[in-house]
Amino acid sequence: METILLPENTSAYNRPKNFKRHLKKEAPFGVGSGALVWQFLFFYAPLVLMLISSFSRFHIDGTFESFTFAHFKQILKIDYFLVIFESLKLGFTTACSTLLLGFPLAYTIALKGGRFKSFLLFLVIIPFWTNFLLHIYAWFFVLEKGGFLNQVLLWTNLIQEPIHFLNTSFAVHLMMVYYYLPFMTLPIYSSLEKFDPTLIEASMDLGATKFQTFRRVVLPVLMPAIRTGFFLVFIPAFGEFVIPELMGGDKFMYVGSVVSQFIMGEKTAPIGIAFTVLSGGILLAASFLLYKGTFALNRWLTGGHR
Amino acid sequence: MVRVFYAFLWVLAIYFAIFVGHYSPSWFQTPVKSIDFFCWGDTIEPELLEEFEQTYKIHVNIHPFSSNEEMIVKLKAVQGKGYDLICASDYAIRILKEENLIAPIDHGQIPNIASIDPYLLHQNFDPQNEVSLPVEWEPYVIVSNEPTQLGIADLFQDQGKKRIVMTPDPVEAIMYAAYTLFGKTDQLSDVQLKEVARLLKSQKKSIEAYVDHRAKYLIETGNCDLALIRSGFARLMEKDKVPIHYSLPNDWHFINIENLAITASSNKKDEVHTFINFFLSKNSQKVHSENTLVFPVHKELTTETKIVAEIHEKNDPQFFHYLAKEEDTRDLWVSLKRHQPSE
Amino acid sequence: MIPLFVFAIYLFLYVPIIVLVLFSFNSKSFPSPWDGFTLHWYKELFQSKDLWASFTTSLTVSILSTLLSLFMGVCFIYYISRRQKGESLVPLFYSNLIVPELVLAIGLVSYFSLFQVPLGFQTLLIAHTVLGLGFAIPILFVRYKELPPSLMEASLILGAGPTKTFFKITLPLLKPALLASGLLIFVISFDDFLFSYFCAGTSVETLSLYLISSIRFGISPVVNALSTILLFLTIPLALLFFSSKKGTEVF
Repeated sequence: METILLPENTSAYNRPKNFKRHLKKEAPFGVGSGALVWQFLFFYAPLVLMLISSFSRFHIDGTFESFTFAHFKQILKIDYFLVIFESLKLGFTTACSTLLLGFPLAYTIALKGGRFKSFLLFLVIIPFWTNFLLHIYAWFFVLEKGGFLNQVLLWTNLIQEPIHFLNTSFAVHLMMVYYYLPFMTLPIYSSLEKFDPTLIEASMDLGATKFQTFRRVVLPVLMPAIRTGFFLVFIPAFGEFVIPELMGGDKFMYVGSVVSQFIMGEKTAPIGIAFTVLSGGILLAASFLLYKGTFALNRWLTGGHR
Repeated sequence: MVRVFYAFLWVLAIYFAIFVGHYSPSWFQTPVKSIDFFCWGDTIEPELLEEFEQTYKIHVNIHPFSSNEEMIVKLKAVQGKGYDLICASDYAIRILKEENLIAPIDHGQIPNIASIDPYLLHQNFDPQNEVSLPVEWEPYVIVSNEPTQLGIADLFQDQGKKRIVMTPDPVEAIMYAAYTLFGKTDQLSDVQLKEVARLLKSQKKSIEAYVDHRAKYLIETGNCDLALIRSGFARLMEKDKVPIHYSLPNDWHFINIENLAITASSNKKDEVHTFINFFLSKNSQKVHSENTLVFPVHKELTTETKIVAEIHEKNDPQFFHYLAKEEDTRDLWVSLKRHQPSE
Repeated sequence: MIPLFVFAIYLFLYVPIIVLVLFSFNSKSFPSPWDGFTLHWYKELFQSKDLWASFTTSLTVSILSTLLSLFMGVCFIYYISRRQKGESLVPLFYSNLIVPELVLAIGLVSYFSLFQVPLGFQTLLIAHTVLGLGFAIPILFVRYKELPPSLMEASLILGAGPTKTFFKITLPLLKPALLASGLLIFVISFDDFLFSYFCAGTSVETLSLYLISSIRFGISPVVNALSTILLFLTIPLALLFFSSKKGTEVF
């Protein structure tokens, strides 16, 4: 394809050929750059601009006016930090609860499932595939004062009066765990699937107890998956606000609730953006700390190996 | 360099593919005359819209919004362009008037003005009804399981014995608290605002939920004992034979009037006037009010309920508006929601 | 002991759904207890124009964004197949999952308002495609790396150009990954709520928005009927995804 190479500064009529050649050479990039362009245009650019605009003031018609800290000053108040903290708490408790439930679940399906493995896993996935609003709605039925749960409890005489479940913190956390359970279960299951069972056999043959095997052999291999699952739950759960609103009677305030309220108003939209940036930053820092923390936890749990 | 060129090609492709809709002219425009109506989702019934289109051959495009705030923001952003007619609550009309976003209504083109209940005209947000005309109104009532006569103040003194449903709107909540504490108020000082916050927080342990529409459902299912909601919901429950009692608060009457206004940028003023006249006709008012159980503005339909009579008698209706700066209102609301009463 | 625990979890997962489905056939609206079997609510459901409009909107957006994501994903894989250096760019697409959807949605809303782009169908499509790319490219890339290079080499040696190789060899081998990621993107887009809430403006209503406004009103058996139908519609999709074996490897 390469013809005789001419020196760079040859006469102008060579340029078009050069250009065409470059065009052809870079054709693959031409094809593939669509995704890159899209990603920059609609993912990185908005985020960067959001970061910049949280520090800027704009005129009504959209032109830039000045840099300012005013937006942040509005939210550097104790209540707002506490809201962020509540969201962090929510994300953390949800992640831990799903871990407590999801780990045995994944373990049992993967190792004890046998022929029904796929089917059992499939059952876990279905809620993940259907609109979460439907599930919220389904839980209304169960948690209602005259709902299924209360009816069962009354019928079995465990309680005398219907318990007030809906519009409480309990309902919120319940729904969060319900929704995020597949996110935690699937990575762990996936990792267990690939786990080589002969390792367990070998360990047991060498005299280790079931517990020791679990601690020293299985757990280290699973830690990456647990880590993945943890953050797959923690990060989205942080931004959750619909579940608390519908299940909690809108009595609780989380990052998402604040942001969605602020972004709708005109004067408050920049404040909403500043708050998003602030929360995002804090989430990043918290995630980083937690990430490091999982390694420390790993060392403690598995006794220093891996 | 060439890569940049390719990337740029993609940008162009994306731009045109996505936004081609805005540039194709006649393809999207219907040849029929039409007006764009910016209003609540349930402002007008589809059957009325059809009737209007059939009678006057003017199509009405509905653009719904879910809050007055949203509507004001949007109108400001586009300077009203794209909308001919809007439906707005009382205080929103005042704001729009100040921003010069709405145009005077030609009363001469609207004969049905004569049949509007005069009580609803000449309110302080538009004394001469230059830019707005009422189309529906609702008072706020207290709903309860027992036939007691309560006031708004009672909702704040419960101390956790009952389950109460309050409004999700901070503007309303602040006004309720402020009126309970200080009587009729127009502006709150910082100190007063703090007291309002304290009162609202102390109420939280009695709160079942801060909801609007779900109140009806929560009461029906016995999940709450008291609610302060718009009369339309209460009357709907009454129609469905739910065993509840409702009445106006015995201390303050709050009402909400929805009005029609023409955008300043509209160039279809004649069509819009036709529509306004249509909506104010007896039949339209009848259909609309029977459907949503709001109170109509048409004189001959003014329902002979106790509530309407009471309001006329006391003649001191209060309208919702910001009592404090927007930012302070928001801060208060965040602080309230975050506050957890020690159980 | 543990199996009992696991059984309890399954109960936890499915009791609400079963109750939901059962009550869609109840002839009296909740909170009345079971009264009699009826299909009345389903009839009402099918006659609701709002519902169909929001359903078709959701469907259209989801299909379009899935196709767009897959198309651009494949193009990108083509680029990588020709220029190995491109692989270093793949991590750029991983951040879609690290950033909370909320932050991205807000970012897009402010981005659009900055450039005076009116919110509507197109902006929603853009948002969903960004989400979709974040799934398509990692999945396709992982599958691509798993393909034995000997196949491609053999094709090149036998005289087929790199482009032809891509279309005749690589692409067909990627089909399961395409199917898996396509289904995943479709479902995530169809069920999406956050982006519809923020990026769709008020004139576009997706199914999620319709659902949430129904739920905000309280319980209605019509919503039960809708929920039941949606459940049964997405189950075959899940089955399809699952059977393609790429299912759990996604994670």
